[in-house]
Amino acid sequence: MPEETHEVESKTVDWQTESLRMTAFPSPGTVPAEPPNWWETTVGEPPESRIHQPKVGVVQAQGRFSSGVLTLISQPGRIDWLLAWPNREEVVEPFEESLGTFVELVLRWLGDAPVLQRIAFGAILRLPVSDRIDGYRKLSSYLHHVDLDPEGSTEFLFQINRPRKSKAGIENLSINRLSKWSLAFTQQATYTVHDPQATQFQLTGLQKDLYCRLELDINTSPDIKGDFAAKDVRQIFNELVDLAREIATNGDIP
Amino acid sequence: MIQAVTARSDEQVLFDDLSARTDLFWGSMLSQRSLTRSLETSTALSLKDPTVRDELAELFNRAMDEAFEDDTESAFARGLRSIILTHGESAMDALKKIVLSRSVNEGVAAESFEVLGRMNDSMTLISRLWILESGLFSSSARIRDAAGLSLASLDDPHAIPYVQKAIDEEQCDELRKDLEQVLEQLQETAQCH
Repeated sequence: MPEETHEVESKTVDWQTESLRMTAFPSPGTVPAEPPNWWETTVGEPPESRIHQPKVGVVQAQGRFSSGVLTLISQPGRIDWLLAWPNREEVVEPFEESLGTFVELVLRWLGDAPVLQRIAFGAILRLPVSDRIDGYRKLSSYLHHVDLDPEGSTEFLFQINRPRKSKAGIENLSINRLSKWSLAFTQQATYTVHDPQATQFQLTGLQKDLYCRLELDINTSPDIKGDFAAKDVRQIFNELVDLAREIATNGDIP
Repeated sequence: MIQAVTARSDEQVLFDDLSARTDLFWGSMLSQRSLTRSLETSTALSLKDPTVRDELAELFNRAMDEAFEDDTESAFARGLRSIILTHGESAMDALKKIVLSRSVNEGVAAESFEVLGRMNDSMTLISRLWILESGLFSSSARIRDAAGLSLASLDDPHAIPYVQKAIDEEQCDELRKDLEQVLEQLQETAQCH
């Protein structure tokens, strides 16, 4: 009976988002040496910072977006949009809510994107827990094919790819569904500095956050021949997001 | 004065009981190569590795003084292969930035393409294909030629649509004929699969 209670409990707890990622792999020869101003056309205003390395073909732009920090990195072979929430003591972003703004942004960019041969959706999610045993019990409720012993084990890490055929109607398109499950912690130390030169300081606070950690990397298989038609890319991206949502809700299922 | 110090996201502790370990985790249990992108299916960003970027830059600089001969493997080729086999995807990410830049030396780029075409390393196949396919659209005829020849060495039908596109766009008659031969070979390979 106690185990059943846990299973119900875990399904009602929302994952929190640490970061979201969209990666686009452009078709060879389609991204110019000077990439267009994707940030401006997608976000609607200039970034807070932009680093351009013309010699190596890298452009990185960054700025606040929604309640997080958005980064665009264009480099030879890949273009990444990353939305992260680094100040977790200030903002806790539920997974479902974070998806809304991010997916909308990506879909807008896809209308302006170069020809693509592969795309990916990634997410790093957290589920706060009180202690290791609580964390392992929660992980257990998502990992239906793993017999985890919460009291008698430590250092658990489970990673799996469960490919699926795409429902986007593209012949032979397979989607990799990589998920990595673990229990992790971050530690935040607060110091009081006693002099302007910061030569004397005292540890005044220590906060340890323990959480279940789920890394998702949902991506189209590189085995497909040729490029995606522009009309299909948005539909495929939505499918990747739906598959990520399914894993976060139902756990590891074939 | 209060200063909060927080572990950065890339320094998070991914396991819950580090005291259970007796190994030097990052150094021995997982090699740099397997850490960067341990699965062929993963699209995660490879770990930034300034060492490999510097190693490659130095190798390309040294190669400017090297004379490449057709039948002899160059020191540059040996060095490049070794770096790719050691560092995997992070080497490929750094190489893309060097070899596809406008300032690259054409002769050294062509030599590096030959290495990419001859290597037998499944972990970096997708990246090697992408570099060579991109080379087909270089503004340098010498690099386009080297890309076509190296794709013929690699003999992977994945390149077919890009070779076809390159033929359609090629202005140089001689180069176009060479690419048509490459296309023919790849199509034959595709039929055998």
